[in-house]
Amino acid sequence: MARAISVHHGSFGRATLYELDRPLTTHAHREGHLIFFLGGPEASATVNGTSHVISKDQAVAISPWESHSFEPSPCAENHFMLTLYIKPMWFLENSQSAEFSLGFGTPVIRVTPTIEMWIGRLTTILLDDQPSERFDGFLYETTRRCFEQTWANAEGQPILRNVQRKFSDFRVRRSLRLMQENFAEDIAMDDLARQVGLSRPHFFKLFKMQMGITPNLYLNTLRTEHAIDELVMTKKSVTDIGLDLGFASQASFTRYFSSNVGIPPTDYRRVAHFV
Amino acid sequence: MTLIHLLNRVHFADGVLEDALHSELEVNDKTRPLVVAGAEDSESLEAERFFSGFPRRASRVMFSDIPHLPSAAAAAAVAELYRAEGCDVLVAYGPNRAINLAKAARVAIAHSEALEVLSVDEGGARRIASDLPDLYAVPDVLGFAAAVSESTPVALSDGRQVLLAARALAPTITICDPTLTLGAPSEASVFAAAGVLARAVDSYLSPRYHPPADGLALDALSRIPANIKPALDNDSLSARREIMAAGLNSSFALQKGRSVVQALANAVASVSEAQPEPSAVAGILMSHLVEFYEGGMNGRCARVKHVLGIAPGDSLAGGMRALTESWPIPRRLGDLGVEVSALSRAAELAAKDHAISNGPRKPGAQEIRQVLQAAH
Repeated sequence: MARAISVHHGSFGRATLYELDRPLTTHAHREGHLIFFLGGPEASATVNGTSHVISKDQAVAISPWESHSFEPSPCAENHFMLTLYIKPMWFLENSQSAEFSLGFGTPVIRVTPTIEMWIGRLTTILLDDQPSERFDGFLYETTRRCFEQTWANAEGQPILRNVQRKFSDFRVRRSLRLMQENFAEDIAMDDLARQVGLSRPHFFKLFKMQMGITPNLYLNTLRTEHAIDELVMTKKSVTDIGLDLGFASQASFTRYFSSNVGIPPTDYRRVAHFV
Repeated sequence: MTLIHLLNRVHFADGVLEDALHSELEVNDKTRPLVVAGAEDSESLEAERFFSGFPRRASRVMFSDIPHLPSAAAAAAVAELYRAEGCDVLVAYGPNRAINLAKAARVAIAHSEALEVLSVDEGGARRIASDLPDLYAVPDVLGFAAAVSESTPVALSDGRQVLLAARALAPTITICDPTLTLGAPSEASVFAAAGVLARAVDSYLSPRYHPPADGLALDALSRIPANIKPALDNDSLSARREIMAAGLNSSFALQKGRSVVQALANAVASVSEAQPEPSAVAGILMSHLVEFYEGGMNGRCARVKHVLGIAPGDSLAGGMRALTESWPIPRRLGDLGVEVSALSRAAELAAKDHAISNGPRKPGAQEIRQVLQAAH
């Protein structure tokens, strides 16, 4: 059974230790995302349609707004994983790049002895479940080394890859705002497309081209983010959080949350805290 | 200059807008922002991105009745709304007039006295509180004269103008995202570049001693000539970024004090019925002001000419006009709709501005009138 062992929230984003035994549906995050193997059988993550093994020798890096899913091994054992969700602003404050992007050069990270050492340090603090002033610095170094490795192995330069494309269409920009302001309501994609002056197929195509994900996935990301915020920052019941997000029951909200986050919302709330 | 105090918190990167705004509001626990942005700017296509940067928990209030130049009445209205709605931060978006109004509103929120009493003329620079409400500034292409500067002119109801200036007036955080200027109209883009040119030349020519500001002014000048054409013709992001960097640096260079050309441009924009954009007015006036400075430039002229690529044998004023010759910009104040009848009033208003003493040669009202007439 899937289980949350530790969840740290902070200005950096989130860091979690999970035992996972089931797949995670295709989803995305606004944060940069790193998945490290800690124990159990090898698993895999599919990033933008390509599957990558997650093992003791290889971690996976997922850029903000990249669609991805998690696939466990078929042997039904638990996978012990360290996952990091890095806020671009936290990591890029000291960046010297003209582009604001926490996009990784490749989705594959070779776990070098140095990276293994940093994974161990982070895991130790998360397992202690005690606030540590050193966590922030450890996390930054882990992310920096992974980020630089992905660009050392990548073809092409990180500068100016997507920025101009991302902001070029006003209809997509308007749809982002509409979804941001109404994500808790039952947004019909046909209506949204109409509101920005496009047919549904054209809207989906344009959105995917500019954002890299479908509008449905974008909306799901907003709802998951909100659910996590509510679980961690409020005392609202899980049922109310689900109902406020438009789910018909706690069961349907729990199913949605588990398939997008990996563990049930009650479990998440139980272990999550700020550092 | 004995204290160099340059940096507030500035985000500068392509695509940084949404994340920076989201992160700063969230980290600083701001949940009730008062947005100061003109109605037209709030409905612009770029504004979609600005508004999507607010965190979900932030319940924002809007103030959109922005006058052409900041007024005490508008500042009082912002302050009243801020208090009535229990706001905890001001977020100004768009051109200089929105950001400067928000600066004046900060003073109106923190002080019960009239703004006039806190003006430079009344010794207010030492009395404006250091714990003003936070201001986050998100400048558009025409917002860089105000984006990091520590002052704002304020129009009073009786037609007079005062200057508010204090270190605490610089925005707490400034978010500069060059992608926000992609697709900006050519007119606004050229006005912005002309404003940068004017501010940077005048700041550098000022005899006040401030080496970092001099360096920033020269850097701003060096980024303009090669980038205006690709920005206008191809909407090139790298050219847009260079112009934004020039705007930022020219604004930092105002640490030497507000420039003479700002005083003149502000006066013209204040009294003219046509309500011309001050940056455009400054762009037109600068070469005429340089002619007035003549021999007072203490050898600084040569550095400016070198950076702008003007031949040593050519005059700075002539070189500046040649540089901007191909820009789609009005050449004369009359082209901006400024009435001849407004010039005398503008000259009198400018002559009372403290900034008039900051140049290499101080003009009196009569000399200002001559500069304005030559530019008309």
